[in-house]
Amino acid sequence: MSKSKISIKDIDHVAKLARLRLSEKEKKTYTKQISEVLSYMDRLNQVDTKNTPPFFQTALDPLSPSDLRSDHPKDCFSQKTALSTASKTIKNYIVAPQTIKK
Amino acid sequence: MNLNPFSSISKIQTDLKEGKYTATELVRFYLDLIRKIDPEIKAFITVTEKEALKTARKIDQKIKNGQKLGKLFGVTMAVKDIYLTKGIESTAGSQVLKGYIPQYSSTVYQHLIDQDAILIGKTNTDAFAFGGSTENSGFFTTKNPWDTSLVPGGSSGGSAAALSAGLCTFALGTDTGGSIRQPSSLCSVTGLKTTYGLNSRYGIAAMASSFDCPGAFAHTTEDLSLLTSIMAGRDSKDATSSHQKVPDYPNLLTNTDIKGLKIGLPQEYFTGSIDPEVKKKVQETATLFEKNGAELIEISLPNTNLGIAVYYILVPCEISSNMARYDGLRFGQSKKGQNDLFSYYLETRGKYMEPELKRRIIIGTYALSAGYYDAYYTKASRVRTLIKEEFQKAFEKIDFLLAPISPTPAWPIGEKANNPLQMYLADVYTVCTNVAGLPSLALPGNSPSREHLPIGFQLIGNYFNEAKLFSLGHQYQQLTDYHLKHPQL
Repeated sequence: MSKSKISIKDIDHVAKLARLRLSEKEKKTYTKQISEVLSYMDRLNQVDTKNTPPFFQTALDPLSPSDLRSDHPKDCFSQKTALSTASKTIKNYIVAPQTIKK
Repeated sequence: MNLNPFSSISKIQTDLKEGKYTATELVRFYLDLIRKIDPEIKAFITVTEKEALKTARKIDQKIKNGQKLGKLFGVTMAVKDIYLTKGIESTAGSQVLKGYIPQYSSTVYQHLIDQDAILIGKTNTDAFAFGGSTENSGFFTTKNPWDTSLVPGGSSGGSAAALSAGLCTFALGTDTGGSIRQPSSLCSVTGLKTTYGLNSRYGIAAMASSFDCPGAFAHTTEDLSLLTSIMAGRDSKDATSSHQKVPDYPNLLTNTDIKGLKIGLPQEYFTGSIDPEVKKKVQETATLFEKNGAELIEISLPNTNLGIAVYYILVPCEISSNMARYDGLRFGQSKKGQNDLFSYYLETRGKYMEPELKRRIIIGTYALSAGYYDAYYTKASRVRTLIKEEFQKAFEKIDFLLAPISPTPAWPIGEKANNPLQMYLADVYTVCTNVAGLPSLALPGNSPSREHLPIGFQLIGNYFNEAKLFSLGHQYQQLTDYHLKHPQL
């Protein structure tokens, strides 16, 4: 077994970037599993892609300016409907925990 | 009431028009079957009994009054729970969206109910469609109707199992890396992964936006061609949906002659971990096409072996970006009692996301992070070009590719559940078509029974060649009766 591609510290860092709380057990499991997955990906390094452009857009006839809708107000959800899936609201505002320390 | 639950769309509609039964009786018949069979199969997360009966009454009224009927009147459908259905809980198979009642519907589903299709229930899936067995569902694992100790495949396993068990007349799924074709193969139903952009993605929980292809499962290619003609088309709400005019697929079913067709057999799809029985059956299928006048051409697509690596870098990258929208504030479950926003995000996402969601988000976030972006994301995107070009070159010499879908028949529940890499490698024959954006039709390929598990195969076509794929599939289903075999339940 080759050297682990990714350490618990890496997982810890990435999990924070991704806003995920992980238990110690999860961190251990993911470190092992994701190292295996990333090792498998090494095969791509053997492919010469110096003159190959990346392929980002799968759509065969992507958006053209004529597809954009006109900039006029249209019927839309009422505030009540739009907020119906929010976890907590007060007077038509979504309530979130404090963002900035006092 | 004399109704075969596996009846085709046209059979049901003829019966309804002739008054052999009413739409309400038909819906009650399927609801009874679901009550009887689904506790064991567990295909459905939600059964929409009230809505289904309401739609049925509306259709009965229309028939009685001689009003114009939609193209799918009286036809029951099961919809993968990743599709938003207005006013009906849509969980995407995840605890994250448990209790989520969307305010709007996905475009594709809307097209179908506009034609008087009847929603009978929402089906199980791996959470947010990440997986190939439904074992990653946040609720339960669906069982394969052919043998309930086995997985039905996935991620659209609930839909394939419901259809295979005769609990609906057609079903909806999504195919990001094989999630329609693989459960089609494992449950012996007909399913289509379209050309990327043929069907709108609007209103379907996003997995990997440059790969996701909504599509349908049906008992026959003929039914599937009708469904696709209704589902497909440009949608102003999905900028990547295609402008191509949608052909009248059902009227083109006999337009492509098998005689003289060049069918390519890509050798990379017949080597490696493939089960000998799968290989044999797919080769027999090729021979059947040859007997009917097609020319078989062995070809090589060496970049196939890079498909899994490309797919399992790019897809987690897109997932990590798409799943960032889940904040537990605007929608979705949330963990109360956090004093600051950062902890709120950490705890909410940490608590409700299933393990496979976390695993893929971590892989994607890592591959997109500073210092690794070029080595993983850009590199994989470049190899993606090579895979696409290889297919394009092949289609200069051949008309279609014929290949297996899953290297093995359905496997025991739990067998691969704790080994993500093994699970990913099982997608080897399906991911490349998604990497390139090509269409592929999955068809039943043997006479399944409890002893002989279903083995499907796929026909891969060039871009927007769905009409020809349907034509080939239809003629194949005139020559064989595999699609008419059903599990004993």
